[in-house]
Amino acid sequence: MVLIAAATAYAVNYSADQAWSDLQQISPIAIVVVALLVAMVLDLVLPRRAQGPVSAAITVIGLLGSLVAALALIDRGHTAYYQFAVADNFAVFFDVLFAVLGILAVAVSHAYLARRNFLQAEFYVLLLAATAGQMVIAQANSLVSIFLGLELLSIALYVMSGFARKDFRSQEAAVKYLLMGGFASAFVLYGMALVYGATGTTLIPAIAKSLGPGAGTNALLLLGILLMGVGFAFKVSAAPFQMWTPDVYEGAPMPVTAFMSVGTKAAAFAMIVRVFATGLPSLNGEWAALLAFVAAASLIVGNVAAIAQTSVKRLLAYSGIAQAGYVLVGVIAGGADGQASVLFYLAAYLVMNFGAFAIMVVLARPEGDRDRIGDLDGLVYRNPVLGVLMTVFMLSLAGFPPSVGFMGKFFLFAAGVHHGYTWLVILAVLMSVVSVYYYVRVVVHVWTPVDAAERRLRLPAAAGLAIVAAGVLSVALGIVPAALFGLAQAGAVPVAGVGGG
Amino acid sequence: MSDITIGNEHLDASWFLILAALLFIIGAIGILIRRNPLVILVCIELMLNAVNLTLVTFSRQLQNSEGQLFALMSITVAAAEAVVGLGILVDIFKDREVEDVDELSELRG
Repeated sequence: MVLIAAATAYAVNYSADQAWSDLQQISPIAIVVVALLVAMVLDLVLPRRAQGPVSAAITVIGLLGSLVAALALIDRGHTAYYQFAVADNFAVFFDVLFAVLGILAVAVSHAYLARRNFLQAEFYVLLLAATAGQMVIAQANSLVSIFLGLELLSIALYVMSGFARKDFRSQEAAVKYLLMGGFASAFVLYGMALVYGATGTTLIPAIAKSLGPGAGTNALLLLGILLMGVGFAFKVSAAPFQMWTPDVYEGAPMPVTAFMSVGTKAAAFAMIVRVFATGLPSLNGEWAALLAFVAAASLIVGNVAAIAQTSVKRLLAYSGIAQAGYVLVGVIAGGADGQASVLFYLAAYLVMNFGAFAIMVVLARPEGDRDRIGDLDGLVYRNPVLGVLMTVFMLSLAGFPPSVGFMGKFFLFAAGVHHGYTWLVILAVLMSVVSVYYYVRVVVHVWTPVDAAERRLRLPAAAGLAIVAAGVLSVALGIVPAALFGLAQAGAVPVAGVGGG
Repeated sequence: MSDITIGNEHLDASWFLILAALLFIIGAIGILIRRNPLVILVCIELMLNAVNLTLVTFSRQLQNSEGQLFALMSITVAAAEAVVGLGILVDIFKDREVEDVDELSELRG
């Protein structure tokens, strides 16, 4: 009876004005979904040859619209849909990041899809679905909406990683990702169910409020945190739950790898910060200990395993595991500075990591991706722009000044030391010294002289524009980090009682 | 409060939670020890349904509809995941019979 009464009360109180105001709060997601539907319908009516360019155009227009809608929400957002969604600056920061990622992904994939003779419209529809999922995670304010966004993202990515249907390796990547991802989702969901059982609510701010002084001894709650932590670590590809990452990255078509390497990581970190830092602030000690273990394991496993790799995709996959470790340092540090450093680093990771993968996309041939490290030999002589930019991206990932990667690591480690995780920062610094070896190994291949017979590499215009933009940002944001760091600080979720000292 | 009444039977809610936990563990063990991708997919569904049982039990226990809402969402998600999962498996089965996920080993290094 109570349930029915509650449902009726909701129905009566929900006015058209309220619906309009709620819709405005989630307009970045709504625009992406509308673009998705339009692209899907046009795919049915348009002749085959027009499908690719038209759906690419719709995707870019939709993502640009979503970007503008997100920017319009800065400082004006509030909760919507009975607090199930929120458009605070934290959410807006990630919305913008995901819209930019989507646009870059379209620019890079367009020529690739045509060259490898893939279905084009379907690819863009899936890309939009995955982007919508990422944005739902960013704007989620309840465990329910986080789970929905996570699955929307994951299910779209399962299909995308198997997009090269005739390629055994792509099929294998899809199956592995599906089975591991489903397993991880079940853990996340069970963890959420236990947290709901312990606190009586799925709304993240309400969870934070419900935590009393005895929360640290509530077995149900702690088990829930542990299970969610395991599931999140899977999604963010942190050790010891990273084993799917290299295989899926290697098997998936290159633009998909580029998209998911940044997209899933940023979305999973949005989820971790939202649930742990905002939802469970008074249990900071418990989840920080769990994440500190995961961070240390990721730093060691990622950096050590990357050394021996001969495939650039696998090398960047292990590098991504290590990078997850660096970002976790900022999450564990917490406080406004820790969270700002996390946001800053994720934006930096977008430009440098996507840039590196985008160059590998351009190298692909009609019969498949070329991801042996030897395929990069003499890149700088075959195409000077790509060669120089690959060098920039690798040095930025390694954390050389004056790149954005250096500034990002500096902010992360400063926050870590400030909040008393000096041991973890020392480990991270030592491990980033190790990482220099394998990043520089790529650079050495790029600058190795080759026979003049090796023909020059043609660079498609859209992909070239995206790669150059990423390269310029990688350097510019390293020299003048203040603008981006200001945005990251504005986006950090203010959390009472965490860190702060 | 924590009693759940079905007809004339009264059962403590914790029994439902224990059953759900057992189902979840059976599913997790199944994923770890079975090698057939279809069976693994079934095990994932078992885990998700165990969580649904947990959610509705808590919802009943707490007299709070959010858990039921969550369970409905998760049922929908599980259906979508099963559709995509079966699609991917059918696609791969057309090219080769995969009875053991360990046969999927082109990617390593």
